[in-house]
Amino acid sequence: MARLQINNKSYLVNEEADTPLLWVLRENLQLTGTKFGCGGGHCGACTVHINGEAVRSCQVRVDDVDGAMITTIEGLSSNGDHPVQQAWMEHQVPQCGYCQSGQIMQAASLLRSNPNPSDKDMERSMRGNLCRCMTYTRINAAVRTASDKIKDLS
Amino acid sequence: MNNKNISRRKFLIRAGTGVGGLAIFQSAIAKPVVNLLDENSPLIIPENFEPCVWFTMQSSGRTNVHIYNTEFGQHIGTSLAQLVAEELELNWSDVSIDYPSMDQPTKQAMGGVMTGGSMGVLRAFEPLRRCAAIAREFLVEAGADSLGADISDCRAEEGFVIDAAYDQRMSYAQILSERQIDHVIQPEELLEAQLKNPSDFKIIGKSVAALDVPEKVNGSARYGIDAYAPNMIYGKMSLAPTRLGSTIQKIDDSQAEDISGYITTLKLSASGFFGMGVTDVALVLAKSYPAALRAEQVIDVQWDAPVANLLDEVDLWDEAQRLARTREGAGDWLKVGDAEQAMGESDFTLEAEYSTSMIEHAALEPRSALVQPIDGTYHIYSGHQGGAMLIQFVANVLNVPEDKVVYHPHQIGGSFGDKIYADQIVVAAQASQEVGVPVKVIMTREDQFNLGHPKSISLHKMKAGISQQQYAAPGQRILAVEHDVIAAPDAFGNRPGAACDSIDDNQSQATSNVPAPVVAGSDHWYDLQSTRVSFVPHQMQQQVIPTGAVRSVGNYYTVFAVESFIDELAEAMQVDPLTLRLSLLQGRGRNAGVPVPDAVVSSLPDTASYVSAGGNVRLANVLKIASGVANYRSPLVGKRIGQGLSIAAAEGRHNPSFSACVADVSLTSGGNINVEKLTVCADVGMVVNPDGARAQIEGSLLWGLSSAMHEAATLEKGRLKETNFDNYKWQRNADLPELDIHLVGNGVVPSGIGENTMSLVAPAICNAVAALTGKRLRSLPLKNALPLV
Repeated sequence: MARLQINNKSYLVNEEADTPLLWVLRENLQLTGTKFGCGGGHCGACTVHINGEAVRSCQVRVDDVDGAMITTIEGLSSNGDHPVQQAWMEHQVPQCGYCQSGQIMQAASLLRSNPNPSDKDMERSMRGNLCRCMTYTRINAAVRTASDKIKDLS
Repeated sequence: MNNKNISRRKFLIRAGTGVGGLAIFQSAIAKPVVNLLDENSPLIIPENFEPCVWFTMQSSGRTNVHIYNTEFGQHIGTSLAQLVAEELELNWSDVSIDYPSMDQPTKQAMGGVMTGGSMGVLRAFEPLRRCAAIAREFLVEAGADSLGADISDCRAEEGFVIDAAYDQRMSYAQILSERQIDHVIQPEELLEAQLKNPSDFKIIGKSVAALDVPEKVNGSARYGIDAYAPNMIYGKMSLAPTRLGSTIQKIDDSQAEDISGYITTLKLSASGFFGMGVTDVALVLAKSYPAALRAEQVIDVQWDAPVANLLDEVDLWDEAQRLARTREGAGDWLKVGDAEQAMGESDFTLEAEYSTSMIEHAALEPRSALVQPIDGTYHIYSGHQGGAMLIQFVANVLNVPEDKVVYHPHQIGGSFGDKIYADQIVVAAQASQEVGVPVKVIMTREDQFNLGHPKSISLHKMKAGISQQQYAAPGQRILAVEHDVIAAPDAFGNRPGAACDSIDDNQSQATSNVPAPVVAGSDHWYDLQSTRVSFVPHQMQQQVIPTGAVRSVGNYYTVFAVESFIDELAEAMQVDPLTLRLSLLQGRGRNAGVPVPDAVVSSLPDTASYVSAGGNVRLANVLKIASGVANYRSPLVGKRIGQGLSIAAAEGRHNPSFSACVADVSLTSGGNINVEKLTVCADVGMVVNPDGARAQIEGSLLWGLSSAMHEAATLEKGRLKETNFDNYKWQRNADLPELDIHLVGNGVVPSGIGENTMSLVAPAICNAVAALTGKRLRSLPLKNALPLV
């Protein structure tokens, strides 16, 4: 029995200890904004925050995050208006949209720890998040815009 | 004619005398709804105005546009809503979209709606605008009547009917709250629609924000994999040792019985679609998906794998080479003049061979399906590109009448052709039929590779006959071109190709039946004195791997071969590749495109057939723009950079988007190819949403780059060797070229945008590499040739 703190709510989950967090989020808790893409940590579609850090939820056992603070795309902001989400809207980033929860969570985590990333910092952080619609140029432009928004706020 | 219509409509627009007041709402136009708190006081719900299948207008003033196309990133719903909003004179903020379910009555009303081939906007352009324009006339008439105005003084504008004579107005919401317009537009009325002049467009041509973006930014979008039904169980496939032909001998699930939540394992069989190869599948059922994953690891399935299918990649290529020599089963797809005779009369010939690997869709959302049986009807919750065909296919498999299957569309997390195939839906439906509860099948990434429908390998034998004549235009010196396309046939049926007597003949005769998507693009727009394009079917590949439609279908490899070969010809003839191309794009014969009558375009009955109007002159123009903007082969570009050209008119003659590309390429010190910039000009006929079109081109170009540089699926012992993204490599968010995109709308109707520029990239890169290094690369992906030394 794991006690999960997700988006500032507490859940008790009765699953096998080695169940990937991803499936608990998606199927037990119906937090389906976090996506399954590869199951091997290769694509980043399942990225969530654990204690603020971007993590691939398909690679995390549910028992290992007992008590940790987990944030999914549903909890990133109250109205879908996190600066990263605003920038994603402004640049009309999503096409099919399937990878974008993961992209947004990855970018939000990057900008939290590094509000003014260099191009190299951005590439290092974002290159693990695949997008088959290949919206990469817009993703990068939106991360820049979000960075500007966050700098303006602080 | 007009007067008669108006009187008929007057009869149909109903309202109480002395408009206004609750009593009139109730008696005249409102639909009584039982009030559970007080049965004697029914709730008042005004009826909607629903003149056609495409949209519903509510008395609140909102218009819901019904999108029968599937949404997989192209924002088709937004584009189609723009068409409706424009002609209906809506305020854009009053527009929303929904995605109706597909059942048998809807299928009968709509015909076979299929999303693919970059045809969505083109097919909808005429019917949607015409229906909206007719509905607008009804609203103007009703508004004029309510205002007591003369209809000839009234017009519709941004959600209002305006009486110019007395400077008064009434909103659509008011009109529809007071009146019921009870009319269904009949097909014969469509030709009478008073369409706007394109120069008056306010919403078509504007980069409105896509309506499906907010839900994709806040995580609330529902994809097929997110489908949920109470008490559903989960299915995990256990796949066969070969992609096709294996059969299950025995399933031993004794090890799985200890796993909490395990239910049973079913022996099923599935195919991707009508006419495609069948494979057995063991489907492990459990109460949760993780339990199904665990159980699938421990069940023991004994398979009988057909020895004939245990082939490797090398076998496919040996067979392709054999077919190139023997031309076994060859069918002609395009004939202009007598290429064989002209080849014999040429001064010298040039031959080249090009090849491309298999490519996987690799859509990020694996295919999945939830099928819920309710009272004998099977409800499919999934993402599929053709719901109408899907219900027919699934009904057939389940052996139930077609009206017992309903498809509820969901957002698709990337398709590129992948969600045409329905193996997983069939399996979920069969299981739900057997166990009687909702079954959700989720394919893992490994399942997705294993049960994929990749693009076929392709081999191209090209030969040209050239004249030495010094003073002829470069294009005139190419006397003949022959092109054999060797690839797997597909399951979508054959179409006859075209034969013309000469370069100036615009009346083609039918030739052999050939699978058109497989050879798409080989029927290019160059004015050749004589040519022959033939398709040689690689049956072996189709028997081992059911190859499928992957973004741009045949264009990816045929354009690579044709555009590389044009550059090789230019080199052999010692002319610049730009000069040679322009010399071959003079609008001769069938390459002039469909002639447009002198009438006003809006009065044409079926504008979609005019999509190719203007012909290859439009290709010449985009080539001039792209090469001009890229400063093509100017000394200012510098010796470090090689530039290469390509043009394409994908997806085919029925739907060409004329586009051109210049690739700027350099070499790294280690001999790797660095694509620095892609300059593209695309003439998409008419631009409905410029930012959306640009987004599609950005994605297409990087898809083209990814395929050209990295992507290869390989056959090993009868199935794909690649299993996940660690061994199937594609473009990451790194080392991206600059994309310089220019949109042109030189046609009379919008053409496709999702695929047309993808096939430009590989040949432009290879032509640039040849210009820079003198080395000609004839095989994709290019990673196999790197580093260049």
